[in-house]
Amino acid sequence: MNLINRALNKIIRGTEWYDRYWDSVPKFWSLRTFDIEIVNLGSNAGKYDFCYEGCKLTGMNWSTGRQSLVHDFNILKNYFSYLKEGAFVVITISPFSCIKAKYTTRSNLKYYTFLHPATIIGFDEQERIKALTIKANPFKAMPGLCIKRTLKEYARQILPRRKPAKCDFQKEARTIVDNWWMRQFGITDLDAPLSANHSQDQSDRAKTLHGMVEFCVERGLRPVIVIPPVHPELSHLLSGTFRENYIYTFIRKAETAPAPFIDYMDDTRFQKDEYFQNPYFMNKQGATAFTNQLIIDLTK
Amino acid sequence: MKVENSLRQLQTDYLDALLMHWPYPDFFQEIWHEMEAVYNEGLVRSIGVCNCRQRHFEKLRQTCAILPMINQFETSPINSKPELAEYCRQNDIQVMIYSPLMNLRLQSRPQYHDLLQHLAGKYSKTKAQIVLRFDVQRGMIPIPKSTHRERLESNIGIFDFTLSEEEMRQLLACNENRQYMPESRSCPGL
Ligand SMILES: NC(=O)c1ccc[n+]([C@@H]2O[C@H](COP(=O)([O-])OP(=O)(O)OC[C@H]3O[C@@H](n4cnc5c(N)ncnc54)[C@H](OP(=O)(O)O)[C@@H]3O)[C@@H](O)[C@H]2O)c1
Repeated sequence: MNLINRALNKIIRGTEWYDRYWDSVPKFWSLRTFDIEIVNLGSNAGKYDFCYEGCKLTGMNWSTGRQSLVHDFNILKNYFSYLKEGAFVVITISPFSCIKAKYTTRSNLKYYTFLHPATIIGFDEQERIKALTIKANPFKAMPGLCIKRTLKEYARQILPRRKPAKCDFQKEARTIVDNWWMRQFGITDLDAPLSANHSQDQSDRAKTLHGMVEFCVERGLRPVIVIPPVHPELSHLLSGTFRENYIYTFIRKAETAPAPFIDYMDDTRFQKDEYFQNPYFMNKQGATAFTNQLIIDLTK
Repeated sequence: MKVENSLRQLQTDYLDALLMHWPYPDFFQEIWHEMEAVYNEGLVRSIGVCNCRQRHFEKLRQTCAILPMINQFETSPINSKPELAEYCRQNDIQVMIYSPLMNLRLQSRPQYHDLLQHLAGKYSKTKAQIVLRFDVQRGMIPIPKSTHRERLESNIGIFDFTLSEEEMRQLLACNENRQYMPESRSCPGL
C-alpha cells in the first residue's frame, strides 16, 4: 500500500460516514478495554438509547444497529472476555424483539469484520473476503464512494448548518407503527393475537433469550432485561393487549429468572421531547440521562 | 486423534503432555473422552486442557474418569487469576502459562513496570526473568517462546535467585485483570 493510499485510508477511517457504513462496528476493531462493568446489547434502540459518557461504571454500547437477539448473543459470545466478573449485561428488548426479521447480505457484512466465522449467521466465504478487503483498504475497495461521502461530510462541516426541522412526534409515531413495524412484519392489527408463524418465532426467540441469561449466569455476569423509554406519542399506540401478547408473554416464555426485567417504556422521567430524536430513539442527552438512571437502579 | 502422527514426526514413542487447545463449546466433553482413551493407551504421560475456568472442570467432572492434569492459560502479575490458580492447586491441576512475557508489552499501570525495574536491578536480572521467576514461585510452568538464542538462554536462567514473600505479594498486588489475548475472541462462547 503506498503512502498516499495509506493517508487516504486514515482520513476515511476518521469520518462519521465510514463508521455508519459499518454500523458502529469499528469500536470492536480497536477494543483494548478490559474489566468493562456494564454493556448493553440490542438493535437500533440499543444503539441510540445508551450512552456511558460520564457514567460511574465503565460501560460500552455493544449494539451495532439493526441486529436480532441471535446477533446479540453472538456478540456476547465473542466479547465476554472483556467483561469484569459480575458485570451487567443489559439485554435490550424492543416491541418486536420476539419476531424474526429478514437480514440482507449487506446488513450481514459487518459481522465478518469482528466476529469469529463460526458465529456468523449464513456464513459465506466470498462475503468474508469482501468485508475484510474493504476493512483493510477502504479507499482501494470503493474509491468512488469514499471520495463522494468524505467530501460531502467535509462540506457539511464547513457550510452553515440549517437547524434540523422539529420532530412531529405524533405523526412520526404513526409512521413508525404503520410503515416500519406493521408493514415489515405483515401485521394488520396490533391487538390481535400473534399469527401461528409469529408465535413460533416468539418461542424460538424465547429460547435464545433464555440461553443468553443462562450464558451470563454461568460466567458470573449479571444479565438484565430492559425495555428503554419511548416517546409518549409512541407508547400510546402500543396498547396493553399488544404489550401482553408481544412483550410480556415473550419474557415469561423465556423464563429469564434471575435476570431482573425493568420496563422504562412509560417512565415519566424520560418523556420530554428534548430526550428524543424521533418517537422511538433517544438522542444523546436522553440516552445519557437514561443510562445514568439505569446504573443507579442497578447498583442501589 | 492423530497422536500417532505426532509421535512419528517427533520421532518419539510417547509425549509428555497432550493438551486440548480450547474448551470448544459443542465438543468439549467429547474431545476429552477421546483424550482419556489416548492416555489409557499409554501414548502420552499427561493430558490437559487450555483456557479452562472452574466451570469447565466442573462440567468435565460430571462425565469424565480423569480430571485434566494440566491447565494452560495466560496469567501474569497484571492478570493473576487468583481463584482459578487456587482451584487448580486444590485439584492437583498443574498450571502452565502461555504468553508469559506478552504482559511486558501491554500498557499497564506504571507501578508495575517500576516494580519490575526495581527488582531487575536488585537481582541483576531482566524484567522478563523477574516475571518468569514469579511464575515459577507460584508453582506454575511458564512456556516462553523466543526466536533468539540469547533470550532462550536468559529465559531459563531464573533458578539462581529467589523473590522474597514480600516481593511476591507486591507483584501479585499489581493485578489489573489485563491480558494479551481475550479468549472469547478465539473461541466464542467458551
Ligand atoms: N494455549 C493457547 O491458547 C496459547 C495461546 C497463545 C500462545 N500459546 C503458546 O505459548 C507459547 C508462548 O507464547 P507467545 O509466543 O505468545 O508469548 P511469549 O512466550 O510470552 O513471548 C512473547 C514474545 O516475547 C519475546 N521474548 C521472548 N523472550 C524474551 C526475553 N527474554 N526478553 C524479551 N522478549 C522476549 C519473543 O520474541 P522473539 O521471538 O523475537 O524473541 C516472543 O515473541 C507458544 O508456544 C504459543 O504457542 C498458547
